Amino acid sequence: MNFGYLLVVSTHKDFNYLKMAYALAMSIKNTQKEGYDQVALVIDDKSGLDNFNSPWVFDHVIEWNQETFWDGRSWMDKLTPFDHTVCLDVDMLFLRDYSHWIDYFTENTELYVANKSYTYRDELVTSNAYRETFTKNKLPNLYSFYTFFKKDSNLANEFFELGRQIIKNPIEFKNLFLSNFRPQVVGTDEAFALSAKLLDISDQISYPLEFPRVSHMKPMVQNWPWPANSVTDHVGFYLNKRAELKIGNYQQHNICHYVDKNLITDEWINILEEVLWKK
Amino acid sequence: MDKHPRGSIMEEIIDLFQSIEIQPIDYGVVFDPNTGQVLSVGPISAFANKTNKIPIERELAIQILEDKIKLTSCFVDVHSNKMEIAEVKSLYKIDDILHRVIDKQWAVNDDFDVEVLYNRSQKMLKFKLSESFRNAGRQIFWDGETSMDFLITAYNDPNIIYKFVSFKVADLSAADVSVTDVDIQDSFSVYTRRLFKSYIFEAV
Repeated sequence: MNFGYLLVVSTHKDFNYLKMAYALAMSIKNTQKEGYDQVALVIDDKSGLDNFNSPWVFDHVIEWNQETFWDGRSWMDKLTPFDHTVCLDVDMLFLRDYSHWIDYFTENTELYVANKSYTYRDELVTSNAYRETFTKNKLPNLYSFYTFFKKDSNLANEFFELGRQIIKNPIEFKNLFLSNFRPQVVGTDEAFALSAKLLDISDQISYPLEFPRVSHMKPMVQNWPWPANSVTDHVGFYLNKRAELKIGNYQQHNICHYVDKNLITDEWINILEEVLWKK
Repeated sequence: MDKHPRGSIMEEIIDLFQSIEIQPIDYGVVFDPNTGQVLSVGPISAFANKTNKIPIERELAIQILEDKIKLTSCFVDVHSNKMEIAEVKSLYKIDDILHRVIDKQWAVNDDFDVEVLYNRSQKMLKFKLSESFRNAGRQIFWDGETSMDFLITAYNDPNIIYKFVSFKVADLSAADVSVTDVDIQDSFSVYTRRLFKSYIFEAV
């Protein structure tokens, strides 16, 4: 089986997405079984890799600059070097072995998009915050942060092609299909959800499963009895020397989608590197 | 055969509607610069002639406008220019209550108010106030009786506490504070209630 994780980043004036991708790639190497730990990086300028001690964690580096920022992820099916791929948001960390999820996906589906997320206390997120576009326009509740697909699948090709059209023509699609609540930006989540709805494939690509389990650290979905601007204002993130993560006093086992783009410090990079080098 | 004129007009109208782009609204708040109290919320373009204003997220603005969040609970931290929501007027972040004293090797800048030194061979922790307070006359805001609390914990994990150290601000402003018999073989971290702006830790 030729499987791997695909990370798509581009240069951003405020945030270092490449550093986040490096941390994620190391966490994948640190936790996943051999054969399930390949990582491909799509990047607009690969010179930034020179700053890292272990750029070899990226098994494939693909320089590509046709799109900027998150729009590039809608091209995941064209960019991947793998037969089977999971495309991830880069502001994530792997914290245990999730290889068995991949076994399921490769055997049972050509395309699967995450449709649940969890709080840091492992509660299912049910809040409507950040998701009014989905609920008011009756879109499937898709999260593009974990998207599995098989290369050369007709189902996946149609889905991604329409997703690209939606991202390229946001005004038309907003006015026609998202009129009950127009998002400020048609991001990958909205584009994927609308694509699935228009192709009527929601049940095929996002049926209920207990995985992937991703803790989504957006502040307003943590089931806190107060509103919040930032999770890190209210609860601490503690990465120990074994690169095990606690949030508050909760040990994390799900994939952590930390959202806060300033979370990955040089100290955390050093911790992940030391675990990597000892493996 | 030509299209019916009415059909043609309808198509033009539909085209027109489809071509209209609804501009996203950027929201903001106006605040009292002395207290941080939020005074008004709305599209930031409406506050063009206001001096003390900051942008906020759309979801948050809508919740305030829909009265799901009380305007009276909203404050702007005038130092960081970020809006906070508080049920009481004291604003605390986890980093204020449980602040990790950063290791010197990872510190972004060298300026610090309180230095925590660990001498492994002597098994001694020493707490030092920066020279700017000690000799340069910088004023300490806190009352001398205010306690300074430090947790010596497992590395980057305040859930596992090895030792608790507490003394008064006045003790530290008078002289360095030393704590002996601190025998920790592994790496460890120091957490504190953040009274001073910046702390630094170094093991020697």
